[in-house]
Amino acid sequence: MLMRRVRGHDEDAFATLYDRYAAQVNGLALSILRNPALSEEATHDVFLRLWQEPESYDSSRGSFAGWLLRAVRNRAIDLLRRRREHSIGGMEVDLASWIPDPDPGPEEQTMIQQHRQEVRQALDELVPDQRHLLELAYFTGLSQRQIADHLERPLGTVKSQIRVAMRRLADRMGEPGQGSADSATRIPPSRKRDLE
Amino acid sequence: MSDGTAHRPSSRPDPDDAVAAYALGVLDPEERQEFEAHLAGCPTCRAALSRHEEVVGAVGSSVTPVAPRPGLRDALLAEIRAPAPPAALPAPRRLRVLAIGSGIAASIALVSVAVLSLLLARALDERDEARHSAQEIAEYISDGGTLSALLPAAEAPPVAAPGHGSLVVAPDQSQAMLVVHDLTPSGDDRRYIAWAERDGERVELGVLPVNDEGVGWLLLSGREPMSAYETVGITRYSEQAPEGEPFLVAPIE
Repeated sequence: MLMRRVRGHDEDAFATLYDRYAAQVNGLALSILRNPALSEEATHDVFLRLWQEPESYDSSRGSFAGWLLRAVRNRAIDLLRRRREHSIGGMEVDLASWIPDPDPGPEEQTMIQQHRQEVRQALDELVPDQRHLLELAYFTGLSQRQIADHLERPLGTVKSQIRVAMRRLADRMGEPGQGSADSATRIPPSRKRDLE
Repeated sequence: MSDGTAHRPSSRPDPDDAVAAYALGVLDPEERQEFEAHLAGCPTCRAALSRHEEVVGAVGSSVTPVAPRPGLRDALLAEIRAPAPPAALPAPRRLRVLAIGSGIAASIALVSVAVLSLLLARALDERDEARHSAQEIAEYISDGGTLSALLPAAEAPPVAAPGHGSLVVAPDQSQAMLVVHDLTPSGDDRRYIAWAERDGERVELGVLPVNDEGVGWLLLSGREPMSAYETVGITRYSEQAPEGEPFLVAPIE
């Protein structure tokens, strides 16, 4: 319903979506860009696109939250790649810090926290090497080939480890009670239709 | 999930590897093209891709939320409420300035301080200079300064990054500030020059640096008040396209 209203240029519906998702969108952009000004640029761009091209979200192709988070990730990585002029050595960062803050803070609702924990748990259950490669692929904007070069590892190994990690997460999240992007971004089932 | 064998003969890379990598956006350009060609004819991989895209969204949701500054919400709402400027308008004489009607001027005023502040914050990150400049713009506007859109000249040749921006003139006309964005960054072989023009004569105001994010700004201080000029324009110089006519122009109100 909210997205239908946004398609009809309803500013209140847009503001509601912004209020509901801006922190999650900005948090993801910040995890990738590590720069508040740039993450706000990514957040701005994604919401502006949502307003200007609402038809780009197709509800038959998955959840709204998942689409929105993929959109901001793509935008953040675009910005990161444009910004990255220095050598690949510049990406030598503590990747552990990129993944979820272990202390989300008391203000988060119990349900959100629970689903976020489920996704984090699924990540924790990956073999450390698979998780490391997945994090590099997810947060740094490096291609598989760049990751392989960076780590001086065979490209085939990098590809297969990323594939296995993604498949495990997909299988894990497909289990009953496990979080999709919607469940992890504060959308209880009763409100999901609100977005269509 | 694809079984990884039934689809392989006609395509490289291996679809089983590629579907996850494609969802993550980590394929090389060639691999991506090849996989997209494969994807068009493979419903199994399309279904697998849909699942993997959900995983990409879910991993993003595992990150702790961080609220953006309240000003971002205000700027976005102002931006969506402002009517879009026209793509092209009739060209008057000389610099072929895009005419700015009162309706457009009003819409620009709506997005004035918040958007310009945001642009400067983007351009200059968190440097003190950015805060100072944003304050300066806010003071200009609140004290009666004027704001004009810096838009593509009507006869400018089409380029990949035509850019746009704003010109803010101080109330006492002693200074002005140019803010541009969506331009190709300055470099050894590309530079941007700001000019003022009156009666067909141009006066160089300075070099406008454009950063890697495509954003640039320049404080203009002429020997004469800005009102002595009719327009401000920007020319682009590169080895392939020697400096010529301004491609972005704004009237001085």
